[in-house]
Order: sequence, then structure tokens, then C-alpha cells
Amino acid sequence: MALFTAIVIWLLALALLLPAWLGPWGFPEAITPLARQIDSRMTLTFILSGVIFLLSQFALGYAVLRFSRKREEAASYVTGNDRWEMLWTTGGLALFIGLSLASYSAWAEARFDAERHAEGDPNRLIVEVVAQQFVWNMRYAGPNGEFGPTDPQLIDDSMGNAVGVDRSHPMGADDLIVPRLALPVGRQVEIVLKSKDVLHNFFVPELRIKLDAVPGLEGRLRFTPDKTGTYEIACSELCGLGHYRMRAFMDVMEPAAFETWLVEQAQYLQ
Amino acid sequence: MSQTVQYTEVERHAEPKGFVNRWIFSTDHKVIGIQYLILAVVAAFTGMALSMLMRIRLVWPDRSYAFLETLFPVGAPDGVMTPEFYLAILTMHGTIMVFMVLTTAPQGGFGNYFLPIQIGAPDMAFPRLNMLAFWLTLLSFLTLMAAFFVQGGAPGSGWTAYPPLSALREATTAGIGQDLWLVSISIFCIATMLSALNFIVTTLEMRTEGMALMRMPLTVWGWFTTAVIGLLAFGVLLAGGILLLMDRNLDTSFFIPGGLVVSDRLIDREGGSPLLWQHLFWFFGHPEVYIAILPGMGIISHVLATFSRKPVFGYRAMVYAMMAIASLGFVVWGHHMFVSGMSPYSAVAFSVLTMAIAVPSAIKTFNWIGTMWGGRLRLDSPMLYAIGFVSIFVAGGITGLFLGQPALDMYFHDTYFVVGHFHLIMGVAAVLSMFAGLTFWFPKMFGRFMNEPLNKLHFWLTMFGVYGVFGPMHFLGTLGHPRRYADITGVNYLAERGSAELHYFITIAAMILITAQFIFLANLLWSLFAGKKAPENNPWEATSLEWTIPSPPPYDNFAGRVPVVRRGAYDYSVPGSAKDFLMQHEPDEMTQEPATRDVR
Amino acid sequence: MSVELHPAPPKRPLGTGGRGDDILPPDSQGWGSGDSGGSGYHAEQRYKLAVWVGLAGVVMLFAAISSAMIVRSAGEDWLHVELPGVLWVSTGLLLVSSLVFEVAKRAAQRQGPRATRVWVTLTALLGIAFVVAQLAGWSELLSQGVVLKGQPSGAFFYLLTALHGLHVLGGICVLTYVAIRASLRRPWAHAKAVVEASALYWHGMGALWLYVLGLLLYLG
Repeated sequence: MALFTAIVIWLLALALLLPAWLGPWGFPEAITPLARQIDSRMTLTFILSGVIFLLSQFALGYAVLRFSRKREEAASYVTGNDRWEMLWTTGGLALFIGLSLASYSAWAEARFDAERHAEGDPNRLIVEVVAQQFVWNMRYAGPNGEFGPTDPQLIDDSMGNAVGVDRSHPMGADDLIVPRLALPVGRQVEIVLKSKDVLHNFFVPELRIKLDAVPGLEGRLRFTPDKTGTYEIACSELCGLGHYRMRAFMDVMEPAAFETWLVEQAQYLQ
Repeated sequence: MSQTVQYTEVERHAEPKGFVNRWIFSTDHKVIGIQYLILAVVAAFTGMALSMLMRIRLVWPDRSYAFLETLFPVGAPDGVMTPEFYLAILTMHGTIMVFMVLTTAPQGGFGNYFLPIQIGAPDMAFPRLNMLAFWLTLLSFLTLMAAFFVQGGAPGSGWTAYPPLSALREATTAGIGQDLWLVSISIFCIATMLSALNFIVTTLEMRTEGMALMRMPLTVWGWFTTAVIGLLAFGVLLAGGILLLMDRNLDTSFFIPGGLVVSDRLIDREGGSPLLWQHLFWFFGHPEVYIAILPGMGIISHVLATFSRKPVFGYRAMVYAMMAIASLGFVVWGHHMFVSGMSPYSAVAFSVLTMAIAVPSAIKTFNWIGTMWGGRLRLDSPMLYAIGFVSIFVAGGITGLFLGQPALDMYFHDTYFVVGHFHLIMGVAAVLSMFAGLTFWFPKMFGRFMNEPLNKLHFWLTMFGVYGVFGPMHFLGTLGHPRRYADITGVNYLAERGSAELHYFITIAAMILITAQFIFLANLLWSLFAGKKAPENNPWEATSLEWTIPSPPPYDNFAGRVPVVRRGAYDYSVPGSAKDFLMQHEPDEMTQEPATRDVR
Repeated sequence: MSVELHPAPPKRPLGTGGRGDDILPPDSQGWGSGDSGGSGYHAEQRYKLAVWVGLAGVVMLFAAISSAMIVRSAGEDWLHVELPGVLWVSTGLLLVSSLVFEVAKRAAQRQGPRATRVWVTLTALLGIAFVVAQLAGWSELLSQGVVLKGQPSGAFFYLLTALHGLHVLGGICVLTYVAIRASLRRPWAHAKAVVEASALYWHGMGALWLYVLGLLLYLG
């Protein structure tokens, strides 16, 4: 029984860890520098936690094996060891908080600048992403470069004005409202995230970042995609019966293709 | 110093008479404890049935089931589960498991039964309050279940019930079901706070002579700290529940901002904040998970010491660690809100505190292994469950290191990685501790043993089953699979990256896991009536006070003679003593002196 | 091993009821029968501790609502609500009732059931008067058009006063129980303990009301 127990503990531990390390279910490719930075922190955390995990499970299994009932000596009357306690308390504290601080810069880059509206790349592309049950609406500022004012009263999904932009306003007349997030590769993007009804969440696994779309608030995400391709946006906050199919596509394309796309969309608007 | 065991003679209160007084509306903490356990078992099997429905929909979304068509003609028309039905069963699964199983069985069940006995008291401080708390809890459960059968069915906003989805009738198909859910939870809050009051006063005021705080078994410390957490956390959930009920029914706007448009209809509310709900909910919600695990930790420490024939390693550290977990547990709630739109600066503070709370958990884990180390392990089934607990607790806790870092949580939030994490800790470890407690205390409660080979079979099937169900969920998480998805047909990358195979594996493993639980249930029921009799008071040769009284115990526990406590709770293998354990009421020097140590 | 009975020959009625290390003097017994509590020193300790613990739970409920109120008051739609004047009357009634309760407490300690009954009844009546005055305040606000919809400050007013009022009504129920208890020929020591503890609860409700009033004045 003791041997069986120890072996099963070790086997199950390996069954969890080995597929995590070697299996095909890892992260998809990272397409921004921030995503790669996050990946390196993931790896660090995985190595550290993997080592702790293996050592603990090994010690547990070993204790079962070594100290089974069949041994001759009586159990040792040990009530504790204050030195060990201090050791793993301070060691644990240093390790865990150290881990947290190690990923601080990635977090700061993802959220701090956008939070305080710090100056990003002045050439960055700002796209408004407005979530609703159960579609994503992307708004581009159009040739004049400014977003027009919006009013909930003007929202009319069936007429293509899911965002409620005031088309009579000069700034709003040329706003593009499209279901696809087209982006030029190599240029910083700022997503202004909004919601029309309930909570949603903008998530593209290849970006490694996500943010809730909160009705009544404007969230901001900044990133610079450096690989072209088509990626999926999967809603990641329960928003109702269509939550599982609230999906849009993010197209990262060459700058020239992006400009062409903008022109095409403007033509559809006419 | 007297060399004999001493007792305090106490007058006995009247024995309850009549079937109703003894078994239905009983103020006896033992009966109430069993009532909570029965409620928890019923709830657990209900919750498991719901999870099985979830698993088969995920793998076979379009399959039709005749029994579903009969039971839920609206939620499963033609026997096919709709996405909104999936969300409803998901919501109820979470709610039932977290509240009606994990917040009842460990505390209301085992705590009620054994806290008074382990401290030498004849009952709780307020027996009638105790009874009231149970019946309110039962009322809460029935109110919750009623949600399945009203128009619109059970709510589909998750056990977390985030507004505006949970606040706006326009945004979802559920209607009064969400209100019933909120009323049920509000009743539960009151019931739990009343029970917590009872536990706290009992522990502080009703300990028998010699039972100093630092001599109490760690089970008692677990129930006590849990009660303190419950007292302080549930009031906040109650506040949130009342505010949300008002938003739903009285046209207020605590959580509903202005300018909302649902399906092209403008909602006439303004000024509220969805984040306010999240703060209130998680201020309760995080301490709640410690409520779910702390009693279990106490039971595991107790069982490990007993079956290792060794004192708990670092008893004081264990007590302080429980207190640290309880207090730190109140200041980490923001880690559920890293990507909610909450200030990223406060996220840093929450992250550091969250990593800090990993420390007392680590201390406890090392001390559990330390308790076993150098012991003489008896691998009876309670011990197996305890060992399984430690293994699973490490597995589940380790992934917390990922989730506690906001930079990494951005990827994992609301994916199956989180689902795997909390199921390992709450769904598995906490439940393993319940199995440990049940198999350990079964002979005391019922005077019979459970069938030991069946328990062991159940244990092994469960261990393989839980790793098989919840392990792959972490891989779904790394794939980027969001949670609360009714199926994988809506997003291409899910199927493309292999999540379908993982889902299939999980579902098969879940079938095995759930079948194993029926083995345990059958064993439980059979053993109640036909299990091998356990006539002796102390079949496990344990040290705490419940093993000094007959099995089952007399109505007032100690029949008027309470042992005076002379030592701590974990004096196993004390050098120089005749046997390898000294019970808490045994003095230092025994009057019988066999020359050799009796090592069995 | 031999069994030795503990030296004190008179049997202790009903339970050990202690903090583990104290040796109880023979006449201050603790625990009760199916009746919750018991008599004397230990019952009093238990009831008082229970009230403190219960108040802690109540405080958390009101703390949560307070924080919701603070957050909400920063919104643009926060309209100032003029508190009805009758609230000052109700406040006065509640404070006076606390004083009266103190008299009741002393009567319980020094005099006996008959005197206590009078003062406890008076306290309960003042409590009922408080609730009636609060309802009058509601009526006044409603007539001014302060409803729940679109008026978050009004919503908090109604919510806070309602929750507080419910807790006061609970206290009145306990007072009624004590008053009835004092009329019957039952062990007086137990009822004395209840009076002590419920005085603490009552003062707690008074303090809570002062806090709520302050919050409504400051934020509302």
C-alpha cells in the first residue's frame, strides 16, 4: 500500500507536469514584444512552480514510503522546528513576492501608460471597440482623424449604426463602423474599449492581454503587433446566451493593404 | 500533580423526548451537524448531476436526451440543451457547490458535531440559534432550487452574478429565477452569520477545565477562524444582494450605468457602477474560499497526526498560519479584478498581498509533510484521503502563483486555467478533507465502520479521476479557452488547437469520477445500517476528547462527567510513555507501567 | 487508571461552561438546559460576547452599504436630499431610550423583576415610537417626491433607515421577551443576563443610528 501510494503520487504529479511542459497545448505564437515579455515571465513562473511542485510531491511520496507502519522504530516525538519555519517562511515570501515584482514591468507596460493617458506613439492608430450582445463593433475615425460624438438614442443596429455616432456631425460623418478589427503591422494600436449593454471582455490569445469592456467606462489597451495574420477575438466575460459565439477577427496586415482597406470601407459608407 | 485522570461532575440537562424533538426540530448539535451533512450530500449530488450535464453538452452539443425534454421542456426543447440552459446549469452548479456544499459540510456539518465535544462542552452556546441557522440554510437551499422551476428558469449569470447582466431583465431570458437566487443567498448570509456567532461564543466561553486555547485540536482552530471570517464576510455579500435586488425590482441604479442599449432598446437607468458589485462580491468572495478550505485544513492536520502517530509539526505555526490566512484573505479580493477596469495601480498592491498569502499556505503544507516525516504511518482510508489532500493542495495552490501576477493573469483570467485552479483547491482538496473527516469520524458518529476496502477503492478512483478531469483544464487554459462557453463551435481556434480532444478526455474522466462517488454513497448508506460495529470508544487510538466517549455519543456528550484536560491534542509517541499516544485528559505519569513500549 | 472526582462536593448545575482554566466558585454556574443560556455569571458572559460578535456582523453589513454610498455619491446624478425634521425627534427618542435602558439595567441588578419590567417596557415603547417617527420621516420624503428611481441618495436613505429599523425591531422583540419573562416566576438570574446583554445591543443600535444619521447628513 505504501509503495503503491508513493508511486501513484509521483505518477500523477508527472502526469500533470510533463504534458504542461512537453504537450501541444501551449500558448499560440506571440505577436507583440509585450506578449514575448509576458511569455518569458510565464516560463520563469513555470520553472519555479514546477520545481516546487515536483519537490513537494516527491517529499510527500517519499514520506509515505519511508515511514510506513512496518518500520521497527517508534515515531519520533518532534513537535516542530522553529528554524525550518523561519527558513521556509522568509524563503517563500522572498520567492513569491519576487515573482510578482519580476512581472511588474510587463503589467506596467500593458496598463499604466494607457491608464494615465500618457503620451504614446503620436502616430498610433486609435480604434474604438464597442462590445454588445453578441457582436464586436469596431469604429475607425475616418479620414478626418477624429471620432464623431455618439448618443445612445442614435443607436440603430439594423441601419448599421451600432455605436450611435451622430452622422450629421462633421466629425461623425466619416466614421467607419465595421465588424472586423483591421490593423497595420508594426504600428502602435490603442484600443478604446466600450460596451453598450453588459460586461464583455476583449481577448486575443496571441496578444496575451485582455480587458473587460465595462458599460459606462472607457478602457484602453495599447500594443504593437509585429506579425501579420488573422487572429480571433474571443469574448472573455460572461455576457449572456451568445457569449460562446461572440467572436470577431483581428486582421494584421501590411500598411499598404491597411490603407487600401480603409479606402474600401469608406466607399461602402457612401 | 495528580497521577490520575480527573473529571468535572456536571449536572445534565433534560434529554429530549419524542421523535420530532430528537430528530427533526432538534437543538442537539450532533443532530444538527448530521442534518447539515445530509443537506450537503444531497446538494453535492445535485451539483454533480449538473456538472455531468455541462460536460456532455460541451462534447455533444446537439444531442437530444428524452429525460431533459420531460424535465425541462423550455430549457431543453426536444431534449437538446440550449446555450442559455447551459449557463443556467453552470450558474446553479457553482452556487450549489460553493454555498450548499463547501460552506455547509465542513463547518455546519463537522464543526457543529465535533466542536463542542472536542472542547469538552455538552452543546453549543446557543442550541436553539443553532437549530434556526440550519432551518434557514435549508430554506435557502429550497429557494435556490425553486429557481429551476419558475418562468425563465434558473439564472444564467454565473455564481458571481455580475451586473448589468444579472440586473437587467432585458439582457437575459431568466427572470424571477435571478430574484429567487438573490433571496436564497440573502437568507444563506443570515443563517451563516448566526451560525458563526454560535461557533465563536462556544469556542471562547465553553471550553472545559484545562482546555487552553493552545491545547485545542487544530480542527477547532479551523472552525473558529472560519467562523470569524464568515461573520465578517457574509454581511458584505448580504449588502450586495440587497442592492442588486433593489436594482432588479425597485428601479434603483446602484450597478447600472446610464446610456445602456440592449437589443436596440434604451435602458432608463443611470449612474451606477458594475465594478461596485464586483468589489462588494469579491470582498466577500475571497474570504469565502478560505471558509471553504480552513476547516478542511484543520481536519487534515488532525488526521495526519493521528495516523502518523506523531505530533503536528509546528502546532503554533499552524495556528498562526490559519490566522494569517484569515486576515490576509480580506485584503486580496482585487486579484479577481485585475482585468475588470479597476485601477492597475491597486492591482499591484493586490498582487503583492496575494503572493504573501501563499506563504502561510506553504507553511502549512511543509508542516503537513513534516508531521508525516519520521512518523509510523498507518495507511487507513482517512489517512489516504489526507495524503491525497496534500498532493492536490500543492497542485492547485501552485497555479495560484500564475494567477496572482496581473501580467500573467491577463492571459489566464476567465479561461479554463482558473476553472482548473479553483476546482483542484475547492472541488477536490476541500472535498477530500470531507472524506477524511467522514471516514475518520464515522465510527464515532454511528458506532460502525465504513467498509474499508470500498473506501480505498473510492479514494484511488477519485484521485485518478480528479487529475483526469481538472488537470487537462489547465491545458485548455494555456490554449486560451475562455470559460462559461456553452460549446466550442463559436470560436475557430478552440477546435483548431486540440481543445475538442481535451474536452472529450475530461468528460470521460468525469464520468468515472462521478461513478466513484456513487460507490462512496452506497458504502455510506450501507455502513449506517450494516457496517462492522465499532464498540470501543477509540478505534483509531486518537488523542482528542471525542474518543473518550461512547460511539455514538450520549445526548449531552459526556454524560455529566467531563474529563479535565491535561495536555495538548497531539501527544503521540511521547518518549517514556506506555502507549504511542496520550489522550488529552491523561496526566503525565501513568499509574500502570508496562516496562516496554507497546508499538502496534 | 483510577478515576478521581474533582474536589468540590456540590454538583455543578448544568455544564462546565468556561474558558478552560478557571475553577468556578460553586454558586456561579453556567450552562442551561434546552433553554439557551443558563444563569449567572457565565450566561451573562456568553450573552454579552454574543452581542459583541453579532454587532460585528451588523457593522460589516452597514460598512458595505456605506462604501457603496460613498462610491455612488461621486456620480453626477447625486441629488441632495433634505432630511426630514422628524428625524431629530426620532434620534432624541432613541437616545432617551438608551438612558431608560440603563435604568432598567440597574433595576435588574439591584431591585428585581417588578421594577425591571416597568423600565424595560418603557424602553420598548420608546423604541416603537422611534420606528413610528422613522416611518413618518419616510412619509414626508415620499410626499416630497423622493422615490427610489433616479434618486440614489434617496435610495440609500430608505435602505439604511429600513435596515436599521429592522434591527431595532429585533431588539424590541427581545425586550418584549424580557418583560414577559420578568412577569413569570422563572429563574431571575437568567433574565438578568439577558437584560445586560440586550442593553449592549440597544446602545449598539443607538450608536449605529448616530453613524447612519451622520453619513446621511454628510453625504446625502
